[in-house]
Amino acid sequence: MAALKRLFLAGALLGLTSALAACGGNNGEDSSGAGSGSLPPVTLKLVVPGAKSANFDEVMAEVNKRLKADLNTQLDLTFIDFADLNQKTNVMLASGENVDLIFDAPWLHLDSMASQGFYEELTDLLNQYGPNVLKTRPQQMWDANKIDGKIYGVPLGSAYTQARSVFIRKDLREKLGLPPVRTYDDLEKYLYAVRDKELGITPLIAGGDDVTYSWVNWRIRDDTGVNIRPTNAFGASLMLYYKGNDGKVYNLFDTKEPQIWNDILDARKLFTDKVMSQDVLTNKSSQSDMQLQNKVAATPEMAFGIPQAFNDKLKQVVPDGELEAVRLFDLTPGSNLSNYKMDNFICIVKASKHKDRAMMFLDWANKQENYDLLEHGIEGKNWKAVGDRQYDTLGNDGGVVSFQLMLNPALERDWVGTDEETRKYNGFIAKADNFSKDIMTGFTFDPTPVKNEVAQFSTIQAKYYNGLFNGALDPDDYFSKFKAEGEAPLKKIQTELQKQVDAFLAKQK
Amino acid sequence: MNNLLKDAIKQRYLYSMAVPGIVFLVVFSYIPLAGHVLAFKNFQISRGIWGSSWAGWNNFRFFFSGRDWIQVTVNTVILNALFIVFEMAFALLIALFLNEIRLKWFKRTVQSVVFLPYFISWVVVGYMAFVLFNNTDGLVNHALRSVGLRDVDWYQTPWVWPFILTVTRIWKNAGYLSIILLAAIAGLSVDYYESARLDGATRFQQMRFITLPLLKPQLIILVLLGVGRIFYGDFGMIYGIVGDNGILFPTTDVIDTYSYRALRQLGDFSMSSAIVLYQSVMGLAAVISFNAIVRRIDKDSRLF
Amino acid sequence: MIRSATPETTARSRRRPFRSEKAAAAGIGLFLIVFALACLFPFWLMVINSFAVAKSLALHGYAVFPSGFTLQSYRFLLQGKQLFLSYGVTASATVLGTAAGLAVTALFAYVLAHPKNRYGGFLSFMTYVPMIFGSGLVGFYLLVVRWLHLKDTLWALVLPYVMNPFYAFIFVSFYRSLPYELNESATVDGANEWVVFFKIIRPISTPVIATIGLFYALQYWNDWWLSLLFIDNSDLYPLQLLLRQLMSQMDLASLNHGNVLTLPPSEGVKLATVCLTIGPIIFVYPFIQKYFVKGLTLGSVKG
Repeated sequence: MAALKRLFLAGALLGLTSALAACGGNNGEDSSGAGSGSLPPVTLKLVVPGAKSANFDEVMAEVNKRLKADLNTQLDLTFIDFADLNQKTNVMLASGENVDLIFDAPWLHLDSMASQGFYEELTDLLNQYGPNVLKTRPQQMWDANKIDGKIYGVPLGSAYTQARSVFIRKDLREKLGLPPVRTYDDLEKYLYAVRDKELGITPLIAGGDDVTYSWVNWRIRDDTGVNIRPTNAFGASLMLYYKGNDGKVYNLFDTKEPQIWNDILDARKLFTDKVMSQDVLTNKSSQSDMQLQNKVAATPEMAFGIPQAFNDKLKQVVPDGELEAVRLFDLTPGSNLSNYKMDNFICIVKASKHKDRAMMFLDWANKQENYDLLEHGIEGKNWKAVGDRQYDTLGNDGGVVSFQLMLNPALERDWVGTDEETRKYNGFIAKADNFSKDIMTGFTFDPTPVKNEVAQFSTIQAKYYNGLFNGALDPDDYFSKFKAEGEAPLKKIQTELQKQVDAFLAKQK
Repeated sequence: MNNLLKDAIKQRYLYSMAVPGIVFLVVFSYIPLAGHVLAFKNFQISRGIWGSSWAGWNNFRFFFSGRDWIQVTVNTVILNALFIVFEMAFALLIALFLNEIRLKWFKRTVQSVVFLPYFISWVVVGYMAFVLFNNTDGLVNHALRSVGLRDVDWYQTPWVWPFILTVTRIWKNAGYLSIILLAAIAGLSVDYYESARLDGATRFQQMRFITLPLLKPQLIILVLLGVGRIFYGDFGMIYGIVGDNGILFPTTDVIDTYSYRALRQLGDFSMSSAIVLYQSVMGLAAVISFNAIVRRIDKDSRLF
Repeated sequence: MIRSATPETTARSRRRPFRSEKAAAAGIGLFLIVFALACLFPFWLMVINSFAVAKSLALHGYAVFPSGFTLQSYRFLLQGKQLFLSYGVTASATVLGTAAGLAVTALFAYVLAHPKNRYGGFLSFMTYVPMIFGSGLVGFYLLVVRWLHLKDTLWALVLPYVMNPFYAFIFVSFYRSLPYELNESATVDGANEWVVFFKIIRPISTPVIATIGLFYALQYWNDWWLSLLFIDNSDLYPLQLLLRQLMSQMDLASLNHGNVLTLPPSEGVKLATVCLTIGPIIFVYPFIQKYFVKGLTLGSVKG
């Protein structure tokens, strides 16, 4: 039912947003200094995506108890469903509602909201009230996540690239007499063996509706030989891409980049060989569901290791079933590029009357004991600490928030059940120094000058991209059709993007 | 003016009955309508609707300068026309047939059951369609194979989808629409039937020559209401069932899904307003023409 | 319905041995049975599988007869107070909205349809326009939040949908099919239009009032849009908003929370939520059906 997310996003467009006379006015800030004793009572309104967890009330009671004692503050936490995030936060901000802290992200509307002046510049507040916020994030992270040189949100994240692997079935692989999968060739052997000997189970499904999960995108990401990456002019599409650190925007129609093209041909072969699911474009259940229901033998997933819950669920269907992760990520330090860009941010709203207190609260949330409470719940009841950097769950109830409010590499604990190998990978991507700096670090594309072309190309791409990049469409036939329709608008976008990149790079020097 | 006033005073009791409705209409429909001005603005949230600069026709450009707008407009109208005609036809059949049923429990049960699909969301319907038509273990292909026919790649065969979609819409909405017609039938006078029966009319003749003509106002109103929205695609349905499967776009892509895909990356509110305005104006034109035709044929059935 | 009131004529017509009539009757019955089964089947799958054990759902998907029975999903949903609060909110909005909506549209449509109304055409047109142009959300949000100050109140879930043009027009089509002599005779007696409406028109409108009442109830019951925009306080979440949240969580299955992949709520819980959400409202229709037969016929009024 992957269509659902899109349905909801649709609402975002239909719903539009509210417009108002510029809502501004930050009347009066509480200027009282730090020191909990002298602070007047304040209730902070915090708006984040997500939903209430099972033991929300209990954990929030504890949070507010501690906040009362430490900062004379109460927290009013409003969750917004992911699907509704865009339209709801838009109208909230635009109507000048009484919100102090709000979640935003580059994939939401961080850049446009910041540039329209909805968020407070945080440098001074951080220096005055946020020592823990600063300390828990390395310098690279702060440097790379500014907008026009200013800090409009606290970056939230604990890694510099996305964890990723292909989940396969360990039990099937052993049954088929295959050695552990180390390379892409091994993986193909496994997939073909599944096709030949395991009837009733589809060897592979990639993400037919999400460009990031398309089989070609998935393979290209781990190909450090070329370091091809999307420009994010329209999502993770590789039609315009960067390659290495030469500062150039490439257009796949022009280059037919051998690496991408070969992967497209490979994907086509997988599809015609019936290794790739014949329903890759239309499948309605999530890939994970398909795999856990024993219908598919391999799926791309954003994790380096198998979460316990996955194996538990699989075992309900196949008692001796077990998943394992095939990681094709290159662990050589420096071979992967990163722009150190975090996916999520927490911002202080300019119209807030309690900006000082909001920052004090953030600082409070970035102390280990409070961080643990917010993320894992009540110690001894919901979880227990294992050493300094690990935790174990007691029951399935977690805390209330994490990546939406305070996630950082310094305080995040590993789950104790994570295997050694997975921990190695997770540890690797959490260290900024393991990556080479992407020359585009800090650059964001402003599509306004070519928005007609972006809109047009998006509809054209929707007809062909997922089909080609998952093998469902014959590249010899459809790539030229794609090119005939899409070449003109894509060229314009490329030119504009290159112009902005050049200007950005010139400024860097 | 004098006449107006006189009339208003003379009919004050009558007109006073419309006041609550007019108030709600003005407050909740007409005031927000001003938001459509966005279509001509370079909308920026911080500046508000009126503060944003004028954009002329720029927000319409992305739609009309491509080559797909004719296709999606045509698809929208054709699909909606299919939906209106066949939904109405089936709703009518259900209502007329139910009216002929004397077994009370049977009638009531059927009446309630045909209403059930209305409650199943399009997302769930889309899932069910996938179970029926998919290429891996689809039930339809199973059935085809078992009678010795070849598999069909349903999700790669665009031309069958207008039919599948129409059948789905009938299944989902005909029961709902039949309620209106059943209520109308319940309001019809027995006199008509009495005299017809005395003339020896068969039940079928009564259905054909009495019930059907008497349902005309309801049928025409329902069609007129549908015509006004003929340029609005059923987004929930199309996205729930077809999703992002580009192979099926030639027959299933409608204005709403098209503009959604065009703008989901940009999230540009002015551009999406522009498309809604296009749909509205076209719909208004359609309904005014249709109303004029109805007015000529049968004045009493007109909408306005 | 009408004929059921006159059993002797029914009996008479049955005695006539037209073979084609019999065949037609059989055809009608068959058509209805087939259509009803097609409607019932998916619904059955949904309901029965909300009681299925997780393994059955995983192995067989939606089975006609799942292999294990469990109340686990329902138990999960019924713990805590949120579901009960939401039932309360949805029920209140539905009752208030249906009552207000019926009153306003029934009166409004009566004026639209009245032959003495000189501006019926204009008024109808003005009523129709918002249906095509939609509500123009930008202004809509401002109106409700900034001017009417309805945010986080029950009224935000009720007032915007009180006047529904579509339902008004259905009323109009019904009123138009009434013979005009009905109110003519009454107005001659000196009764004003309010009296005519409540004394004569309303009693014979029972079927259409029941129908539109049902539609209003459905509209309020099924709405999530207003609550999405105007409700932040979870004590005021209606059922449909809960359902939406649950359904969208399941879609974000592989969302990366920090570095932990989480699993969506189980299939059974989703189905159970759907069932709990639509449960009460689908029983309204069978209840309302009795008003379809009881509607007074014109003949008796005239008589």
